[in-house]
Amino acid sequence: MKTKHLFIAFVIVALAQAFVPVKMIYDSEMTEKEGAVYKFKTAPIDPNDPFRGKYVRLNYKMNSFTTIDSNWVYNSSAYITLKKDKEGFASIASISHEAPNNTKDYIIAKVQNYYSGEIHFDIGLDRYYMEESKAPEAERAYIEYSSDSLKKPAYALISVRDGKSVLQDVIIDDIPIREYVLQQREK
Amino acid sequence: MASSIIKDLPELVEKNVITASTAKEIEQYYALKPKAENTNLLAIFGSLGGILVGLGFILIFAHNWDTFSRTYKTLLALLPLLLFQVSTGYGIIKQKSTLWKNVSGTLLFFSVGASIALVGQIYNIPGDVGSYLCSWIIVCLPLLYLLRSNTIAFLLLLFSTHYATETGYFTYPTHTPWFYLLFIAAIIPYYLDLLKQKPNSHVTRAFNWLLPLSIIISFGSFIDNAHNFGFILYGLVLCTLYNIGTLPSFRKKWENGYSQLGALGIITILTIMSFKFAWLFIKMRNPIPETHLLVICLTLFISCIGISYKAHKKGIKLNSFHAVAVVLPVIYMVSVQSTNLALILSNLTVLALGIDCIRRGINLLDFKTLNFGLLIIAILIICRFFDTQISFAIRGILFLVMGGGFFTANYFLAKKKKTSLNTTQHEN
Repeated sequence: MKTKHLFIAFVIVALAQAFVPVKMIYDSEMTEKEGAVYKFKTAPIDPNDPFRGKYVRLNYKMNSFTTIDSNWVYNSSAYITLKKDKEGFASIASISHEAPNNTKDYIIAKVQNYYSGEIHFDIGLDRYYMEESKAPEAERAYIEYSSDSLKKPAYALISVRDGKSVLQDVIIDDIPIREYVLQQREK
Repeated sequence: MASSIIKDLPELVEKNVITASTAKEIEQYYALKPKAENTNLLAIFGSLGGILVGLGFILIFAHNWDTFSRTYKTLLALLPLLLFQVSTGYGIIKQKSTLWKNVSGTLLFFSVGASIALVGQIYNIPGDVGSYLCSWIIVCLPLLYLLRSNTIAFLLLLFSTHYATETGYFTYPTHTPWFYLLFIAAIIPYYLDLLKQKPNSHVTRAFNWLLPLSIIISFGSFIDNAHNFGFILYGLVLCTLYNIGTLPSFRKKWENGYSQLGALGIITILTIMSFKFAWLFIKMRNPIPETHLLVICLTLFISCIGISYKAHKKGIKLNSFHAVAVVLPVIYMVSVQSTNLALILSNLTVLALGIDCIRRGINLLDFKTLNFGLLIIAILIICRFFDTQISFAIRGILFLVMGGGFFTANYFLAKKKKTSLNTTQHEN
């Protein structure tokens, strides 16, 4: 192959390489800027990724829904239309096999199973990356915090737009988890 | 190798083995012989440096510097990518040295991974390690052919195997890593080219070990739910690799990972099959495997037979390991009717392979093959201690016999080798 052709091919590959992170950035920015923000009740725990560092893994309370529709296949997509409950937390308005036309406030979840009139699903967004020393502290702080049943539930702030969603922050005791960890360090 | 020959030349001339003029010719030959490319230390350490720097980038980013603003972190994620894209592009257009392309390509490879990782971290983008590795490898695959870099080839093979194991074994729920097949298919033309152009280079030799090793490690992730039939499928993959290794282009011993890994794997699989626990649940499951598993089995079986036939046509003497491909399906079919009979067959096959290795070792005066055969039989006897009620006294005696067998066989082979060496010397 001639050098010129080789270089043109390389430029195409380089553009493809740059496209992956740039598209990730664009999608996330658009969802955050133009999407609606919902509060999802959650519980954080601390695992490790060899390439992306430490994160708190989030277990969402929103993981099932009662429905008479039993035609759910494992690993297929479930379109969950959201609404806010009395306390301002996200709850499910409806669930469908296809994207709803009347709203942009829906997320796409992976179906796990359908059992006794209930569909169980996973909404993803289970990783909140933190600085490596803060992630384990966040887990410990949350365990201590949640042992007091009178305290407000921890939640994740998620921007939602047209099925795309971005996890913005995790809130404990009305402050971001990072600040909560710093506050606990000072005590 | 060359330096040791040159060092011995004065002694050979002195003892009248070669003439002084021949010694001079040998010296001249090695002086003029072109040195193989990529074997110089600079190329090796350059690539190693590139890999370490690249991994360093990823680890520093993985710390997650939460004091930096999001914009700053995003720029930081894209900067190395852009930098190494420019240096690699410059290397291509200016037709820079292999070393430049290797180092710059390696750094670009890691900066792609680092940028995807860091953006994922900044925006908390979900996704397991397998899907992350998959996107990384896909956008870096063309670099192999654009730069023709051996380091990139190794990295792609290594990361493809990592992707297959993450997706197929370690991430729950596991998925079949179909993209692994695509990655290997993309690497193979480069490898075949290496085999053709530089069959004796260190890189090709390393590939001859790493490629079969990667296939052996990853194959299990494609046969989920195969249960006992998995033994047969794995066995047939190992037989295929062993048979490839017996083809004339791979015959040289220590450069041949195919036959060595294949033989070791075949013995391991058959030894597992010789245990009762391996067949415990066969009666509880449907013995007829799923269609796609049968298709894999048939394809592997045909490949084994085809390669054996090709080796035979090219004048290679077939041995007992070539026959395992036929024996394995028979053992499975027998196991459906009688587990005990399958156990006996598995034991007999391991025993036959051991005896054949000993026989070949003696005939070829090859200590490695002889001791491999003895080891196979020793392992078989040791394994039978676990599921057979034998008294300690008999076990002790058997161990003594085994140990004695090792000594005696090696002693007789050494004696035979000495006699044959003496005969050759006398004939000369």
